[in-house]
Amino acid sequence: MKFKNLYLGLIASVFLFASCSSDDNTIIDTPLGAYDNGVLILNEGNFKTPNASVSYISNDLTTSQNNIFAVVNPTKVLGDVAQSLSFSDDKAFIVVNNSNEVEVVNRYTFQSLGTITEKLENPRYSVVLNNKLYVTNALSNAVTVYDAKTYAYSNSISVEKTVEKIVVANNKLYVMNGAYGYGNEVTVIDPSTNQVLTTITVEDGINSIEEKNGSVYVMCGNKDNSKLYKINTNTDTATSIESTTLKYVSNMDIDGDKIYYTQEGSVYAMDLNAATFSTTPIFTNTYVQYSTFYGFGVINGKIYSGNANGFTQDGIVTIYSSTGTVLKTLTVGIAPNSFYSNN
Amino acid sequence: MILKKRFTFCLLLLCQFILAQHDSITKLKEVVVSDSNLKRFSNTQSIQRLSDSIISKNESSLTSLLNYNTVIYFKENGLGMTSSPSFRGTTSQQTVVVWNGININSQLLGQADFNTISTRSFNSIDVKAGGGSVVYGSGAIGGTIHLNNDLKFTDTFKNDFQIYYGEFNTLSAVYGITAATEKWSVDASFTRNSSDNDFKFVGQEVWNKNGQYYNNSLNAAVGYKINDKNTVKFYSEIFDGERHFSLTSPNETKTKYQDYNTRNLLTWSSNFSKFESNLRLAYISEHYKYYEDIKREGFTSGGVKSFIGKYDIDYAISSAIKVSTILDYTKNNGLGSGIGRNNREIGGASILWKHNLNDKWNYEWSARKEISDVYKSPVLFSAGSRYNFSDFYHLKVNVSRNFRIPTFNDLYWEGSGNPDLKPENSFQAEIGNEFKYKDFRLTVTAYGMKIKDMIRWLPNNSGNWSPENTDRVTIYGAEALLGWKRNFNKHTFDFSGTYAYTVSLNDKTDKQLFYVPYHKLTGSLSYYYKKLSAYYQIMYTGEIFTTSDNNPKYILDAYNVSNVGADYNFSKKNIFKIGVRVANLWNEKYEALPSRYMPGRNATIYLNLNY
Repeated sequence: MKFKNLYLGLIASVFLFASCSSDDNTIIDTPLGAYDNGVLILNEGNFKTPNASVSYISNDLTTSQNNIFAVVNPTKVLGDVAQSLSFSDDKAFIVVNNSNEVEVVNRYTFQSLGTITEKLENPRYSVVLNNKLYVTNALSNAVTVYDAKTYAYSNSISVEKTVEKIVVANNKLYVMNGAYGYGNEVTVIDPSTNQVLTTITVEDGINSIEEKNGSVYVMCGNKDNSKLYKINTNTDTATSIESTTLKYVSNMDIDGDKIYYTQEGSVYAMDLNAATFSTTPIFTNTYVQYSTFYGFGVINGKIYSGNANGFTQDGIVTIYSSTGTVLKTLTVGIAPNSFYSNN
Repeated sequence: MILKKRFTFCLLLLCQFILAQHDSITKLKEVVVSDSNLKRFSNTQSIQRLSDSIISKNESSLTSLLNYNTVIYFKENGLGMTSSPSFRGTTSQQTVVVWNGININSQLLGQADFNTISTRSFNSIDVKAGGGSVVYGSGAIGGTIHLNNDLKFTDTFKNDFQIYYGEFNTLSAVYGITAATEKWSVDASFTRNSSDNDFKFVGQEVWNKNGQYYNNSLNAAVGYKINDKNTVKFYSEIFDGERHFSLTSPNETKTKYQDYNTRNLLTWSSNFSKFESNLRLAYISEHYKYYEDIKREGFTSGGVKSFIGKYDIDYAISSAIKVSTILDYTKNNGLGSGIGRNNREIGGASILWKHNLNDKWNYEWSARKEISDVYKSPVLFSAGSRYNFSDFYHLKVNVSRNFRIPTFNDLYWEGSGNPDLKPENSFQAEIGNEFKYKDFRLTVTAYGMKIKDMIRWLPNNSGNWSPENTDRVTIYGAEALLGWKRNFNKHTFDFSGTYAYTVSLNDKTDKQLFYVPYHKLTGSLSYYYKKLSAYYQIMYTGEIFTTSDNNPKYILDAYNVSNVGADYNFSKKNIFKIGVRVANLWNEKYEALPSRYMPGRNATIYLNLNY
């Protein structure tokens, strides 16, 4: 009996051998041509594996496509950990963290325009101001500066502490000095002199930063409390509101005149000028940290959530209405971490 | 292409009635084995011995040796980089490397890095499939790999020098000395391996970057027979290596990793008419340094120093019954970035029983209980029986319960470690069928296994990844080891091969665990004619899932890699061999892990001297 099975097994494996010509797993897909009037989803991929990708979904949620960078640029590899994306005119700058690269593409066709590599050391986030691209680097603790048109490196601004998300307000750069739930400062840089102007101290657990109507909003959340800061960009001083009920608040995103944020599996919203945190969730998901809301964004009243699915398989993006009704669910690439409106 | 296929096809047809691996251990009387329990209490499981002649035909890393000669699948992060096994569908931490009877898996990671073990320092390497926690402790679930320095007590004086030089400036050299009288025995060697490892990826204009490595190891085994009844032995190994980690994208930050491991073991064996006793004292240290950017000076480091004391007494109740008890004590001191300073103490007691009911039938059972200050341990056991129906057919059955304890990183990692972890727990059963006919041997083993409380690092509430006892896994499969040796006049053919079919399912999702291939097959054919010897090896690994949902988009293709070599011995009485070896003969493009391409066709020349 055993003999017979083994014999069959060996015969079977002979056939396996004979037919083992390597199948290519690449999915052939044709470019949609235009990736505007929609949302770009960055799938960061697995650390140490160059499998980052970008997905697209139209604003009306009817058309979507995965892997658009590879579909449009079949000879190129996006890289290892696509961390973030920023726009300038018709360009998108994709910061590829572990590859030490910024991939420049046309934001509408997704045609590759070039790759920036100089002085990038574990790049994290970027922003464009006055035709200059500013990139934060985790390894060198510096902001590196490039010409946003020629992609040529120009200089580095040494901050000497963690530099993470970066935004522009009032012709100044605001850089979060914290990542992974640690850090309590914002560094303000004057781009005309490339000098650090001041450092604003906030609460521990700084995790999100955004400019709105000339002010900079900063969310911090830790084991004791959560605080929202509003920085006056003329005086670079901050005022704050606090919640001790909601701890570890993160994923702040401003859409219209509402501030959205998450706490574990729940999504909340409050007015831009609210005096207290809203503690009534819009909706609540089963919570698995680092998977649920690994990516989060609110665009034109729709809530986009990216579930990293444990990083061991493709992530899931669920799109909700502003009241929490599921509008669409789609499977994207590995670890969807952020959403960008591309109109 | 056509030729290649036809060749493999023919070779495989041959494989159906050939191939050879000796699965029982036969030894000369004067050889004192380093691990007596392996010989005595493993009659109901399958053991495959890789002799020194097999070791010297393969590349010097333990990964390469086992990849081409056993059913074990390796998750190798590029040639020479970190490499961990999957044996019988289990995880990297569920296979144990046993050095002269002592478990040497890393206390930090729970697994051994098979590219930091240089095979040429050992006389033989045994591969035992299945559970072995009763004797070898934590992690012996999928199987155990035994590295042996066996000592001979007969008048000998031999020098051995082997040097291999190949493409990518790859050097492997070993110098060893074996000297013995009836009282003394010394076996010492120095091994050096290094490579620029800058090979070109097959079919791409891309080269392996930042993959260079070197390692040195110094081994010594000394034995002294105090009198007829008492023998003292001392084994020592120092391993020092540095690897740059090869890049997966061209502008990535370059990193490197250094290992420094030492192993020392003192044993005292006493032999009386009915008693035998063995005292072993071991001191083992592991230490690493990781440079996150080779241009900068900063690094993270860590290490564990372990003291192990083991005392076993064997008592022959009658000529047919042997009972053995083992008492042991282990103390681990860990210190490093991320784990702080932590100690762990484990005490254990085992009892082993072996009974030959008659010439044909024996059974054995064993049990073990550990007490630790850190975790609660179940009662482990193993029970098995062997029945020799005829010279042609032997049947073996074995059931066992095995476990894996949480590692230092699992328990103590800053902000993540989980001190409440339970050990991983496994029950398994196997049936082995051994067939022998003239020069032909075949072992077919079917097994099944349940593992629960598998430790997996998952995200937790405080913003960190943390280990938890979550998964349950069901594994079943079959292995075949096949061997045949035949002389035709002066021509000798020696075939050996292995095949494994492995199903390893996550109970929750019913999906195959990723990085466990369903099929793996190896085969080697050696040919000897007078002073000439030639060999051909193949290793086939079936397609591998790389995601937990078994998404076909991320499957790694099956690969089939062949090596060929030949050498000629110019010496009449001793060994003066010059040879050449071509690895990946058919220039197969393959990757064992995503984006970790392996070298294409490459050649090595070698010289072996033994006087």
